[in-house]
Amino acid sequence: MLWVLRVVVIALVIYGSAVTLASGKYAPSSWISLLIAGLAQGSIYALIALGYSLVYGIMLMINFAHGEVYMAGAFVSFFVADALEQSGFLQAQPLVTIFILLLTAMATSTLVALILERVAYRRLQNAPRMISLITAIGASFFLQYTFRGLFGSGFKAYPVFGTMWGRWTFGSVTVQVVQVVVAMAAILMMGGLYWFVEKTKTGKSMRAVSEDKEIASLMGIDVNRVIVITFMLGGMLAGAAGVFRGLYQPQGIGYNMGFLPGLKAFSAAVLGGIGNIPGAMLGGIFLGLFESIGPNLILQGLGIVGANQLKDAIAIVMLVLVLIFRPQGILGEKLAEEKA
Amino acid sequence: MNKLFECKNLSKDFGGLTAVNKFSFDIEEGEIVSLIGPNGAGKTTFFNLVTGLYPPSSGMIMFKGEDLIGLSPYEITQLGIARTFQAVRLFPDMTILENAMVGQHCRSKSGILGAILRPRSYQEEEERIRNNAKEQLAFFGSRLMGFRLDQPAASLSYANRRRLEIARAMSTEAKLLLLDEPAAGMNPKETIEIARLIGKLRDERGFTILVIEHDMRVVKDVSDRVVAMDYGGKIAEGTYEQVATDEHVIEAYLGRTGIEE
Amino acid sequence: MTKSNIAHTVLERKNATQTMLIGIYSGLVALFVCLIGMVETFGERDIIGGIISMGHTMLIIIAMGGGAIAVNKLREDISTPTAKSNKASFLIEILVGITSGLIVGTTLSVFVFATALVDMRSVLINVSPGLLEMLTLQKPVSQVVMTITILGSLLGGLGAAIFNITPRIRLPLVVGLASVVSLGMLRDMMKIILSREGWPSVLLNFLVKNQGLSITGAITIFATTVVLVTIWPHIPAIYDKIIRVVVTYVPRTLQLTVSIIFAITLAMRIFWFIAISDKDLPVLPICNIAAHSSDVGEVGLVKCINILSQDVSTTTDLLGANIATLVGTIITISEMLIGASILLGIMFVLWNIRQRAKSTDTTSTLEYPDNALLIITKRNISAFFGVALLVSLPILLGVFPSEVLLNVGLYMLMGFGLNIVVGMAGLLDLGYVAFFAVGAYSMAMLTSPRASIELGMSFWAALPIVVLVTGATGLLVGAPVLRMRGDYLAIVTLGFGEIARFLFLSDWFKPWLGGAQGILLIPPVSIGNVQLIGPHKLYYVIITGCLIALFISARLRGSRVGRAWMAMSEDEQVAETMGINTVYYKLLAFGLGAMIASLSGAVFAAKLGTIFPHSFNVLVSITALSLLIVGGIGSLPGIIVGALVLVGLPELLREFTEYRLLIYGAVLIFMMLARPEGLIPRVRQTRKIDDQELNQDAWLHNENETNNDSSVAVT
Repeated sequence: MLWVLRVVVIALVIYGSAVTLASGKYAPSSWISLLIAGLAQGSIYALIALGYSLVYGIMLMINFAHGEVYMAGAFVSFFVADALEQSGFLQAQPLVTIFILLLTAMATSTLVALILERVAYRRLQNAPRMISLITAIGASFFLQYTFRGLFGSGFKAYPVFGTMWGRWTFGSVTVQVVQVVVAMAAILMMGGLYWFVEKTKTGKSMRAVSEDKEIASLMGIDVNRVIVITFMLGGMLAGAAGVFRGLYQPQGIGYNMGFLPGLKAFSAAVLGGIGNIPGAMLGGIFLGLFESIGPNLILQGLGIVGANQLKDAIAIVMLVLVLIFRPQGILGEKLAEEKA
Repeated sequence: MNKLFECKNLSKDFGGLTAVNKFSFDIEEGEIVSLIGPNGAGKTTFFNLVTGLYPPSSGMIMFKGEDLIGLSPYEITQLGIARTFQAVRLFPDMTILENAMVGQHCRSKSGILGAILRPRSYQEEEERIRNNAKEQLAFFGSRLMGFRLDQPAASLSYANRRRLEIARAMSTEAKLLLLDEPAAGMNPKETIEIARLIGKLRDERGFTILVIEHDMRVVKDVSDRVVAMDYGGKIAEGTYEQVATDEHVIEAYLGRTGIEE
Repeated sequence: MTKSNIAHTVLERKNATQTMLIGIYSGLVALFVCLIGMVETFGERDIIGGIISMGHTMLIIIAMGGGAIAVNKLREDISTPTAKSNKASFLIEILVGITSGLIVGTTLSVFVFATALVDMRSVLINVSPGLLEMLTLQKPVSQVVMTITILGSLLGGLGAAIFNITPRIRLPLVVGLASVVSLGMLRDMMKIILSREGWPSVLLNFLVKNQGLSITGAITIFATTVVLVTIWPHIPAIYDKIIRVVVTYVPRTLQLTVSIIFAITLAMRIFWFIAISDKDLPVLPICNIAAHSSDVGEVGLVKCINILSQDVSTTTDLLGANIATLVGTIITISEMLIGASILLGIMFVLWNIRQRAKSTDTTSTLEYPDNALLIITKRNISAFFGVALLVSLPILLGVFPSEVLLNVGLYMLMGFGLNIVVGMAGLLDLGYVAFFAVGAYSMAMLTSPRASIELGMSFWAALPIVVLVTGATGLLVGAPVLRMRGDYLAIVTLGFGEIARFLFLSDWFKPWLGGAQGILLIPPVSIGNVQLIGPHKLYYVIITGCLIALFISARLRGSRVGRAWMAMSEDEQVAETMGINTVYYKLLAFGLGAMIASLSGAVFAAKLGTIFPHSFNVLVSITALSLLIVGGIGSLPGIIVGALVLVGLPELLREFTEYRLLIYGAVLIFMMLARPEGLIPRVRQTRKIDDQELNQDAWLHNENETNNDSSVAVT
């Protein structure tokens, strides 16, 4: 049964792509532009996905409210950005501003993540998965509507950084500066995280806890501390993602901006193999690329009208397909059997 | 040849690890066979293969002349194989009676319409299921009966959970019972009782039984035949005395004691 | 001496810190509700007209609650019996309450002060002058800062003091206050209901002011509640007694006659209500006569019928005036008959008792009927009145409250469907809205003359198709998620719910589904040539749906199918090795759940007449899930209560709508942390025999005991 579905999916993808490519609607340079855009978007997803993956690796729970952690960073840093713009500081010192924004957003998101952990999840460490998932869903909506209550339901727009919206041209290919900056900065951060987890002592205890919580605590590791650090790391990355999102897509900063990206980033984490750090990075970037290229390449070829409207659906369809065909993800979930 | 159960060259790989390796043996109707072997010898994996929880990597399993490979666990249960688990796995929030009634699932057939409209046939079937479940529970004396029928299974003591698990397997009306360490965690008195019960299961209820057991007194008391496993393969087979004195078996147990415990 | 001992125990640093912390948390909660705008929004609604608003009440409850919690914690911590010494510990407890309240008060006064100094509105949109006005009661800030602080500590102390009252007084007091607050919040609804013809207008003027309750009303409500709570424990006994007397003394034929007439009246009233006119008949039966016989010189009955037929002949064109007159006559006559029968019954009872008194046989006691008959009678009576109340609700309450009930019903129906998937089969489906949407859309496409396929079917003709189509969708969604683990399944179904919305919105399907404009001109439900327009009529459709779903759920639960689902939800692998085809049962749950959701969706479409993709967002799924969890997953009464509380309350209070999801989120977290089994759990776990059970585990058994054990003795 499954292989029929597999063949159908592959056939549809190939057919759609072939039709689009044959039609020659897009020039090679526009594909490259889409690719770069996808890379930038994907690295934002990757940053959020890492938060899901880290927490899942340690606590085996889906922190459904992680999208709201990201939203919190973006939202609060907007106010700082707005104030800095009005004072003229932003125009004078754009780089310092971005640095300040990153700090604010990371601090806010970390704070929200830590409150979540302390108030809701700590008492659920040994609860059934369903209980912690439902709690997380509750937390997600609570946070969304708290922000709505505090800051209003309207959408805000990040100030535009003049320097960021320049273009670089390489031959026939034009890319936006912001795309490159976002992608590079995100990749740099992920590298930092990878180094932290692999090389530092804290990172090692994180890995130990993710292998076996009980044994790790017997070995003298303070499991609660590791969990707190995990949430902190996830929060910091999500906060940074919030700023990058503001830089890259200034419009639409609002209380419910975290829901869909959260869902997508979760898909990305599953795609890469949840609990696996390089997997989440790859998964996020792959999802970004797929989302940016997929509708134009595959769906248009299949003759679907308004293909880009279905962009958001792609991530979810991909999530379903991954879970059906390769539940362990691209890089594989460590100890998939035991954790299942 | 009228073997009730037969498997040939059964193997199961997990990645690089071969848990069951070209394992062949058979059971005749009415026999009580014990499967022994050190921890990690592949006994429980073998149970999982037989009951369809894992697909085997190669080999064949026949039961009552039918090939079991590729069948789902529920189909295998329907054919007449039921099991218990090493770490007792009941339905903790369901009552004791309901736990036993679930066993009758594959022997009954009323569906959703029957449940909603409750015609006479449904009521009769439900009555039959209930009586059957009570009959199986009564096999263990008064411990699972009376007021306990409506208690959640989670409220039972450890030994009684084991008993309930056997009762649940019995109520599937299986031909072959696979018991995975029925005496584990029981006190000496309860262990003796379990050994008697296994004999009774065959003598009075006509079950053919394959039992994994570490307690050699139980093995000695109940077995018609003993099969010893190590590294996924069969290392000895015969009566208890034959197997107990077999040098491969002694080596498997003693030679690895340093590593095992 | 003891006093200082106690003081010593209480003022341990740990306890002091804890009290402070509780104070700080309560202060933060108070600040939080101010900042998100709840206080101001609720401030516009008075509980008692001109005296206290809901917003103030909220802050008062927080301050008092903080004090009470602090005392509670203190009592948990101090287990030394000496600390129970009354007077001193009472003082200390009050002190603890005051401390906690002081912190709340200080927090708020600092906030007030800060708000007066700095304009925070550009960021925190709810820190408005209105809020400041509310907190300061329109007095200058400098004057009130101290007052707020002191008020806070007093309230904290009061909260602590309430803890020290004996429970016999505390319970009625707290419940009484709670009912004043809740009825005060529901003042608008009370007014709408009481203004309907048939309710005595005295009641309205007495209880309700322009804003909130009147003072007399508040006192009356408080007193009534206190009395009710006090006599509550005796009610079952009184009820029992009444039933016994009735069963013993009133002839069975009379009982039956009354029930039959009552049923006929009810049926006729509903018929009148749906098919003829929803306003011309007074609500309470007694008013039928009272309202119409007030004119001098005419007998009530005749006058009544005259008025009815006059009104009807001008208002109705659907059914002839003759039918209307007939129905009106039947109603009036049968209601008078009921009254007469009840009088007759009372006479019977009195007469019998007198007879008994006359017969000087002192040895004979009351000959009560046997218990079985009594129980059956009681059950019949409760069922009879339950159904009667259920079907007469729209008549009693009128149109707007019926709208609320209709929405509650829509969600309740969804709750029953979702309960099959989540509660029975253990599959956490977060995309349940998809089935609701498919139900609504397929109903719209089949019935609307504007829809692309232009079938223009009637509601009832389309309904079976809608149910089947949605059931098939359920299977389609169920199939790919069959092998997924619980938490993945939840997220994937959530994704499916979103995909459904994207597809409904998309240009791709626009030619069929209408894109963002949706589908218009969906005809209302009709029976014969009576159209069920308006929530008070549609109510009967949804209540029928709910009863059917309730019936199906209750029947399934104890059945073979229900056991298979339950086994599957507890341990899938074991269920499979016990012979349960889990693939089949998962699909069955998805299909059945989808079918029930489609009923709700179909009524929804017929109710609105127009559907848009935006009505079908994830919030619907979350609402359905929340009501399930609040009531207790798998508990059928829980669903009813959950729907009434989570859907009904926010509908009644428009202020709540803004904070609906905030509250749902908080409720979900709170329930999972504090009471995962829900308010009305499915199974009451009996743990009292645990010791006995554990004894069997003991390694050393008494020889005699085991010899008595039959299973060993047999061999």
